[in-house]
Amino acid sequence: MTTADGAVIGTTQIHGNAPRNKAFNIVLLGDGFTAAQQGAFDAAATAFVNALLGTNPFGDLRPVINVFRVNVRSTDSGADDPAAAGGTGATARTYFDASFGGGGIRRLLLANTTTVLTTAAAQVPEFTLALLVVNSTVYGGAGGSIGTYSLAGGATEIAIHEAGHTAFGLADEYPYWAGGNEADRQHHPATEPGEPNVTINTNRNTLKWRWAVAASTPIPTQTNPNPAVEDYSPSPVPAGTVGTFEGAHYYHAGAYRPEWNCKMRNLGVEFCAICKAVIWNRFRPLMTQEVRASALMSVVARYPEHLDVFAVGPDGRCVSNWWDAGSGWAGWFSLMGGVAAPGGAGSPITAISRYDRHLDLFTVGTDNRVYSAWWDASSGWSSWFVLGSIRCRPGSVVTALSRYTDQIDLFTTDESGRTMTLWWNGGGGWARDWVHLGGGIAANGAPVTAVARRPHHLDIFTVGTDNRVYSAWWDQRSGWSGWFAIKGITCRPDSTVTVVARHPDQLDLFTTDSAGRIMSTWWNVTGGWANGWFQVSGGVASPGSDVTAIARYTGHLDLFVIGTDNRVYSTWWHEGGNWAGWFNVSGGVGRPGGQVAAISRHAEQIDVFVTGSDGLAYSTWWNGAGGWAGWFQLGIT
Amino acid sequence: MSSPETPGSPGEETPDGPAALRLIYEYENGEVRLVSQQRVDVAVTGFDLTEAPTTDHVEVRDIDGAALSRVRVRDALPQSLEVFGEPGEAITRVPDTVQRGAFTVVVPAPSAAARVVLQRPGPEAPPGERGIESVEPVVLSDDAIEETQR
Repeated sequence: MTTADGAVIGTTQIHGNAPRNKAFNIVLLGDGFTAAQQGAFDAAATAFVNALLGTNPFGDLRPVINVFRVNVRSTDSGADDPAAAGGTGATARTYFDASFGGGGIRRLLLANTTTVLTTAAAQVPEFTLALLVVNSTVYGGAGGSIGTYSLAGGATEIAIHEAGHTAFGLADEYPYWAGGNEADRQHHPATEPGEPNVTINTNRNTLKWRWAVAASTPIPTQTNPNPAVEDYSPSPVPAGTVGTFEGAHYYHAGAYRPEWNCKMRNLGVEFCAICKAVIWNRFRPLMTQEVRASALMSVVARYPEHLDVFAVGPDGRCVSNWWDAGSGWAGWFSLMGGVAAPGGAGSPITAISRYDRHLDLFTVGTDNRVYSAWWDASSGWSSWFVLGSIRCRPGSVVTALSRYTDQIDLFTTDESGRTMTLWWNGGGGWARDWVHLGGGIAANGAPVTAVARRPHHLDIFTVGTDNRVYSAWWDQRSGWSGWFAIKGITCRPDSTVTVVARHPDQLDLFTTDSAGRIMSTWWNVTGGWANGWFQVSGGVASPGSDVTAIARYTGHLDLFVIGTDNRVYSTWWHEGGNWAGWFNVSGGVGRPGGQVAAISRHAEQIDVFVTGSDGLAYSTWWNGAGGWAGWFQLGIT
Repeated sequence: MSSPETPGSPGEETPDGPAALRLIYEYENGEVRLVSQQRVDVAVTGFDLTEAPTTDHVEVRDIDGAALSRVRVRDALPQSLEVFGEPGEAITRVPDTVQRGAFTVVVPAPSAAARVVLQRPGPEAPPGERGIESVEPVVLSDDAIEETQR
């Protein structure tokens, strides 16, 4: 029985309209359906779509799921059902040669996988998952590189479980191999499984799903008192609790699963939270990302051919995407379940790279505490952890800078508006707690910004409660100065004072005054502070939009802002000349009060990131050779 | 945004053709052979050179043998098959006595890509040797990318 026993009739898309090159494309192929039975296959395909989209989290992911039905005519109806495996002894001439009785077990439904894969690839080259629907009411199915299932009631559950393996790399969570109580399945070998939903590790601090475990949940959460057999005792914690439950990955003990139950353990139940997160993260790169317009995206170039972007979704979820010159944009992914604080403009994530294989992140969580996480090329992402004891205003910004590789300085405002600092260094780790800087109190919503002109010098800025701009400085030799006013303007209370050090003896400041006018002043070592502020080329910002400034080289500045018409504007200054007029960047439109993130990976390159008028993350770039590119949705390329 | 959407990457021209390759491998009794290469326009997720591969994977290499990307292949040559009981009955596993089948993987294939190598991580070094020398992966299949697919 071969492909001579039938023919491909055609392919029909039965769900979704996502671009095929950025979608999860499922192909359903029929076997054992004669030409006259194609209606039964069509009905089975529709039933699968309904079952899939009724299973969490696939329903939420429907915008990036396409389902295709490949109608294939077979000479005979049904599938082989060998008597030796307890079947009827029937044989059927079918295109994919489906047969029950694999390995002598009637329910094991196998087929010619090469034919299935090559047919799927020919019909839908972009397919992600191929499933074979076999025209029989005998219960059966199988997993592997393709999934097979029959028309028996409940068999779609097989397909969804197998998709867990084939498409998402999930492990089986059941605690036995072939039925249970096997003597050779008592204790899992001492090797950590590679799959994301099983582990032999019960260390809370290094557990692979530690980000989802509440501090109040005991670890291990449930142990097997008698490893000679599987433990089916009830869960000691409420349903849905993530912890470590002993008995998984084909062993009675020594391996743990994240929840008491999961579709990777039993059919007919939901996926556990960790499997759902894995599935989400498989899909998320295919999706565009809604981001808070008012919370600045943070972008870091660990090296010139690489960008890491961090953003906060409308629900506060912390997400990231990265671009590499060799591979393009990787797509958005969740950052360890972190949720940034709402309130005001909403807390952004701030990111720094102390060296090219390391990232440090900071945000204010929903409990208004300061959180941090880090990524290292050698170990991946850490969990989020709390820094110090302060509680911030909802939506506060944590400003972070690294004066040198082994030093981090943080600045924020606490719930009283006090300007606070904390530091870390490679020798001593994190300081014991936050320190109030010089009695400073910031206006409601004003962040503390900072720059290091030299490795042992800091300049910090904020808007005070009288809405004037204030500064202070720290030098290793003399410690912190007191706060002093940089007179000449009155700001909005939530204005950000943006600072750039084009070289160690120069500071350029940018902010918006109470009328939204974009104002600047400067300091240099020879002349001190300039006499007052000036408006930059007549620019006025959208209320709540801050000025972003970058220095591509010593004698050049580029500014970005959302204007009063919500368009994305830029201007520049070149040494020896005046400020250029403001221009709209590639026709881009942001949201009222939106923020523009910009970075220069090298002197002739600017990358810009904005929340578009539709709430999605967009980017464009400029380079010296080609000028400005068009805007594109930030997702996967 | 009001401007037309222009997909692309910062500072990089949009490639002329699809930058991914679908590979279909057949295996039988431990022997693996590549039976199909197909250029496809699809975004490939989940590849990373910074991670040490712990599972079977396809490594895309340039003409000099340098790795460009690695894509994991879960259970490429399965030793067992999953059997499902009637609803409410246990799921079980049985040995795959046939040891014959096929699997597919889609890999990033930029213009510099020249070879695709299916590999399995080498066996763990004995405890005393850990940290001294990494164990070489086992090559299951090493194939040139066909000229028509480059």
